[in-house]
Parts: sequence; structure tokens; C-alpha cells
Amino acid sequence: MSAGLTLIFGVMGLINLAHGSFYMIGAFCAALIAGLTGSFWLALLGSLIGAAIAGVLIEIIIIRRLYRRDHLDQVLATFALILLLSEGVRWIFGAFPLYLNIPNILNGSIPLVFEIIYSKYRLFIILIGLLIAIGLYLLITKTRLGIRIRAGQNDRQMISALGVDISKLYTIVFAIGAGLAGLAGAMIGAIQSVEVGMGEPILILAFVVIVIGGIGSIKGAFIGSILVGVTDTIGRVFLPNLLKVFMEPANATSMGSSIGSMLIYILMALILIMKPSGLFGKN
Amino acid sequence: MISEQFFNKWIWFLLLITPICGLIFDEPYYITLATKVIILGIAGIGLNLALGYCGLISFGHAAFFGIGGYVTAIMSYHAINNEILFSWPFDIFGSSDMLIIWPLAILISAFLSLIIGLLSLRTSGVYFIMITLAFAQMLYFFSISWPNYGGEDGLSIYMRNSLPMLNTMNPLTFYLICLSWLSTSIYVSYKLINSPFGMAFQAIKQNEERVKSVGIETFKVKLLIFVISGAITGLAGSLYTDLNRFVSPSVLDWQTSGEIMVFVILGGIARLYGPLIGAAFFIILEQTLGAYTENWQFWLGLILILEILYARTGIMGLFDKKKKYEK
Amino acid sequence: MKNKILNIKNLSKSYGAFKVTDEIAIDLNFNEIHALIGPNGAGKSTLIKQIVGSVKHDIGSIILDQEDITDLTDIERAKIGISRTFQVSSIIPKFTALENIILSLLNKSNNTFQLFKSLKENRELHSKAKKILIDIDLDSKTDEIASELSHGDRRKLEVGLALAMEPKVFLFDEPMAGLDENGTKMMIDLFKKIKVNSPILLIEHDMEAVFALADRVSVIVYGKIVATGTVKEIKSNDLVRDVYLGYEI
Repeated sequence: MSAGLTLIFGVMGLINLAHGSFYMIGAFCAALIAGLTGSFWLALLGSLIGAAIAGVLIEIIIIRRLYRRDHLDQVLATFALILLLSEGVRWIFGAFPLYLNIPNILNGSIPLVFEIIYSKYRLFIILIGLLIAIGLYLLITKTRLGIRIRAGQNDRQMISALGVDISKLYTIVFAIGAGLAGLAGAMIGAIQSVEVGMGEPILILAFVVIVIGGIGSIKGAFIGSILVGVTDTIGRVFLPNLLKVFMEPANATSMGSSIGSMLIYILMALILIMKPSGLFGKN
Repeated sequence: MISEQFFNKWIWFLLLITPICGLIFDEPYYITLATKVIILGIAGIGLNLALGYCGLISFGHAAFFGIGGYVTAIMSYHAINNEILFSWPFDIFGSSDMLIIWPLAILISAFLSLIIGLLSLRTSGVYFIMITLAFAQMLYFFSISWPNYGGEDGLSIYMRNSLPMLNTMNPLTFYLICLSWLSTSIYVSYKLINSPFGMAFQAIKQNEERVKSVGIETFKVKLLIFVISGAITGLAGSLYTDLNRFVSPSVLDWQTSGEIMVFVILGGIARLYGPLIGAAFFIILEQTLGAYTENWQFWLGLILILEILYARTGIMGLFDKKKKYEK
Repeated sequence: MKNKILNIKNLSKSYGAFKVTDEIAIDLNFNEIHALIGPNGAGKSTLIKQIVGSVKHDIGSIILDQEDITDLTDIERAKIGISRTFQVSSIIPKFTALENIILSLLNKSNNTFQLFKSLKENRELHSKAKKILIDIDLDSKTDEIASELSHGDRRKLEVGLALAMEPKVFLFDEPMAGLDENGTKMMIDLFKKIKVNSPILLIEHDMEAVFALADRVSVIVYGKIVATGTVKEIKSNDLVRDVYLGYEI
């Protein structure tokens, strides 16, 4: 999810609030295909393709006109897109949540080192996440497409002067971003339920990750997501216990969980106050 | 072509005629709706000062709207239950008197915007948008998981807060109270915009570098307008709680920030009455389309996108194209 | 050094191994126009940025009117009396010419934080601003929107913004670039008039204007000042001739 957003946000210089919608679209595509075929793997593939196609359409119809606009227009237009897509999906699929089943191979838990037991499926998600991160890194640094993307990031006019079809390039980048978001949505959809609005909490989290890491930096997004993950866990698990040392258990639990859920935003605010353009951002 | 001044007179006419119609047709619901428009309009007017005139794209104005709302609810919750609000450094009781609650809501949201402004205004561009969002989200999650005041379920107050000698439960009375706050906030904005200070913050939107080079402390200017902006939105939040006699974390949600922004943009950015028109349009759309289809927000999204892509001056811009400070 | 209003010593700034300004020493006497010339990329504009404080220098000191301003921020420096113009016109695009000037008057008149007084009723600011518009020959365009002014008029307005600040020194970055003959002549007369109150550090490519105006000229090449002297001295300086005729030094 973050990876896809970084790609769009950083490389294309576009604030895309509607990214969460692709996440949702992916999840719904997956649920639909899983319902029709019964295959989880086809569903995952479908989510990727479905979200990417939606991405292409939306890029061509709307997003394309926003690159040269200011941040305000981008924020608003994509905010409007959220309304549009959320309601559109609600229209088609109804307001009830759908469910995706995890295939048998990935069901259950496996023991890890030190007798920590971890669910197979979550491990699978982490694995895919790592694969995507590596894949993106290779794509950006090693392939022709990557070189063009990076060139476009630095100087949009120059590379179009060199004969690269910049608008096609951006459509592709946007589609990759949307597709990855869709895939993420499908994978998470199997743990939670697939419903309208499922992308929004994640979206904000993804923005936090990117802003902490520094806009446009893939390395930043990677480190940002680790930081956010760790902080969040600390906030949820350790803080209530820590506070129990100082106060009554009941108070500590409620206090701890309220502060815990704020912790990543506090982290983001702190980082931005110290480094106004993120950890790895350029000024 | 209708001039903006002429248009504004019509707005006042409508504002006065609406409750009368409501009375004549015995439909108090319409008065309540109109009150909602006014309150949301005030919130938008607050944001418009920062966003429209000074170019500070705050995606976190829900924080101020919400804190104003929560201050109001908490004060009256304690007043109703006769509990002590704080016992340190001296006993402070809740209150259900609007004359106490308003200044408090304004002060606390001003203080909050001072803190948020001090921290956020060090950044700019996308980072500013995101850091204001982060602060609002912080409060949102705090309100959800803080159980004392209802947590996720929100907090109901059974009686609308009171004003001496007035029955605030009467829809018309409450409408007029809100209307007077609306005119006050429009008057304050008008005065600000046409003052030397107003010149400074409007110049910052256009060319901050230049404003610095003529020796104006842009940080202070931005901070002050951000605080004023937050205070006005906070007041709106307070009124909103009294309107619904209920407050919940959803007023602190990022979608609330987005909606306040939508009022400003739909109505016409950097126009005195723009946010009011935007809020009115929003509510009318919700009521009319909402009656036909559950998915009215789909059409709202569509209208918004069309506006941003093609008619960037907002509803008021359709009538009055010549505007000095328009985008 | 009582007769120096601005005194810059040993000012250096480098980006990595590249020295943009290299131990620059330059000063400005009362009642003087000191022109700074040199080829493109020699570090003239960066020098101005360092004097106004928008770019931090690495080492060196800047003394304004016997006060060390080295550690002040750009806004503080502007407040106590350094005013600049920008090489590319930088005005408030949607303000009228008059409003642009008034904005620049706010600091000196301490009006920035007047929140509720109507600006329109401030006669004093308006008459002051109008006087400045007459000085820069823009009084016929008082109420025109700045972004709609011609290039030449915008250059004049740029200078007007600096004038309105009533600073201790002016730093003008190519104020005559793109002006027609009349415009240039107007500027020359104007600069001669204002230097009495506030001396000028002038960057200019128009050599005729420089030679007509400057009391002293410094030549900067690769971030180093290679010569300083009167117009006559500079004209006959071999090194300077080499620089301008393109020989390596």
C-alpha cells in the first residue's frame, strides 16, 4: 500500500487521497472473483488487475488534469474521488461487508524461533510485502522504465522533450500504484471484512509513513513503515503495561490505549518538527 | 453579471426569510436545517481565513471544530451531573450557560490552534497539509479511546445550553443566536481582510518570499491568522454540539476537515460569503438528493470534481467573475 | 570606519567544493553607489542573498551602520534597514501597484498587526505610497493589477517596493534589465537622488548605466572580487579587460 502510494506521491508529485479507494476496489474485485471461481489465487490476481484498470481509467479521465495544479486542488479532487468511488462501490455491491476466505495452505500458525507462534497468513503478507519492495526497487533502479520514471521525477519537460511519452508513462506508474494498493486491499480483506471505507484508516497510515520517510523516497517509505509499525505496537501493547506501574490498572488500560493510538501521529509531528521535510526528504 | 455585493444582499434576505417560511408552514425542521447551514458556514468562514486568504492549506480544522464541540459537551455534562470538572488548583464546575461556554470554546480552540500552528507552520506545502491532518487524527483517536466522555459512542447532553432570558430550545431562538454569530464572524473577517494585517496575510498567499523581504514577520502573521481561524471554527463546533445536543468523535474525523474544506471550495475560495453558500449547497444536496438515493455523496463527489477541473471559482464565481484576489 | 554604512568582510560560502563566494570584502560609503559587475554565474546574486540573509554564509561578518548583523535572520535584517530588489521581478501579483507599495510601508509604519483598522481610511499610508509611485513614474498606473503591468513597469514597481522601506542601504539586482531608454534614464536620475539618504549596492549588466552612476565599481569573478576602484580605474584595469574579453585569468 505504502509502496504504491510512494510511487504516485513521490514520483508524480501528486497527492492522492483516493489511493485508499483502489485498496477498496482491489478487495471488492477479489471478493467478487473468489465468489465466482472459489480460487483465492485468482482473486489476488484479479484484485491487482482490477485496481490497475480502475487506476488507468481514473488517471486518464481525471488525474491527468491535476498534475500541474496546486496541492489544494489535488487534495480536494481526490477527496471528491473518494466520495465518488466509495458510493459507487456501495451502489454496486451494497452496504454489507463481504468476506474472503484464506486458502487452506495458509491457514493455521507455524512456530518461529524462540517458540513464537505466528499465523501463516500474516507471514505470507509480510513475505509478499518484502517481495514487492524489492521488486519496486529493482524496477526503479534497474529497468528502462525505472530510469524514465526517475528522469520524469527530476524534470518533466526535459524527458518529454527527449521523446518519451510522459503522459503514457504516468498512466503506467499510476496503474502500478493502484494495482499494488488493490493487491494489498485483497490480502487484508481476507483477514478483515471487505467493506466500503476500509481503505481510509490505512490511507492515513500510509500518508504518515510517507511523510515520515520523506516524500518521494522509497528508502524513506520503507524505514517509515518499520518505524510506524514498531511505534504502533509499542503504543498498543507496552504503553498500557508501562502505565500500570504508575496508576490503577483500569485507568492505565484506558489511558494507555488512548495515548497508544495517538502515538504514531505524535511520532510524525515530532519528526516533522525536527526535520520539516521528513527523514530522507529533499528540501 | 451580478456583483458580489448584490449577491450578498440576497443571501441576507434568504437568511431572514427562511425561518419565517419555516414558521408559516409550521416546519421547524427547516429552521433546524438552516441553523445547521449557518453553523457549518461559520466553520467554513473560519477555515477560509487561513486557507482562502492566507493560503494555509489546513487539513486539520476538524480538530478545532471538534474541540469546540467537546468543550461545550463536557462543560454541560458536568453541569447537568453536578460534578466537579477539575479539583485542581481550585474547584471548577461545569456550566450550561452559553455566555461561559462560548468564550471558553473560543479560548481553548484558539489555544489549540496556537500550539498546532507553532509546530506546523515550520513546515510548508504537502508537509503542512499532512501535519495538520496528523494533529486532528491524534485528537480523533484520543476521543475514541478516552472512555470518560463516551469514547466512540459520543456524549449526549439532554438540554441545550442556556442563555439568560431566552429559551434556546426554541428552534427559532437558536437560529437567531447562530445568525448573530454568523454576522459577527463575517464582520470580523471583513474587518480583518481590509486591515493592514489583512493585506499582509493575503500577500503571503501570493508571494511569501517578497513579504519577508519587506521586513514583515511572516511566521507571526501566519500564526495569528491561523489562531483566529481556529477560534472561529471552534466556536462553530460549540454551536454544532448545542444544535445536535450530542457530540461524537466523528466531528474530529478527517472527513470533517475535508467537508469544511469542501464548503470553502464549493462556495468560492477567498470570498466572504463563499463558505456559507458552500455549506448551504452541501445541505441542500444532502436533503434533496438524499431523499432519492442513499448514494448522494456520489453526486457530490462528481460535482466537486467537475468544479475543480472546470469552474475553479466556486458557486459565487459563476455570478461574479471579477474578483481581485481570486485564485 | 565611521563613514562606512555597510561593511562586509571575508564572506565565504561554498556548496561542497564549489565556492560561490570566496572571501569577499566589500563596503559601502555614505552617499555612494557601489556597482558590482562580473560575468554571469560569478556569484553576484548569491552575494546579495547572503547580505540580506536568505542564504546563510559559512564564515565572514556583515556590519550595518556599526551594528553586527551577521547572526540576524533575513526578516530582522530587512526590518533594521536592508532592502533589496529581485533579479526576476518579485511582486505581489494580484495586488494593485498602490497596494504593493503600501505592503512595503507596513513595517516602517508599524501597521502590520493592526487587525481591525480599515486600511482604506489610512490616509497617511496612501499619500506616502502615492508619492513613491510618482517617484518611480508609475502614478498613472496606481490601481492597475501588478501582474498585468508591462515588464518595465514591474521593474519600476520592484524598485518602488524597496524605496518604500526607507532602508539604510539598497541592494539592487539588475534593476534596469529589460527597461527601455526612458526607463533607464528615469532609474539613473532616481538612483542619483536616493543615494543621498541610502547608499546603493548595484548589480547591473548595462555598462553605460553603471559608468554613469557608480562612484566605485567592484569586479567579481568566480566568487572573488578581483578589482575595486573608480569607473576610470576599472576601465583601464587590464585584468578587468581580460575578464570581459573572455581570457582566462
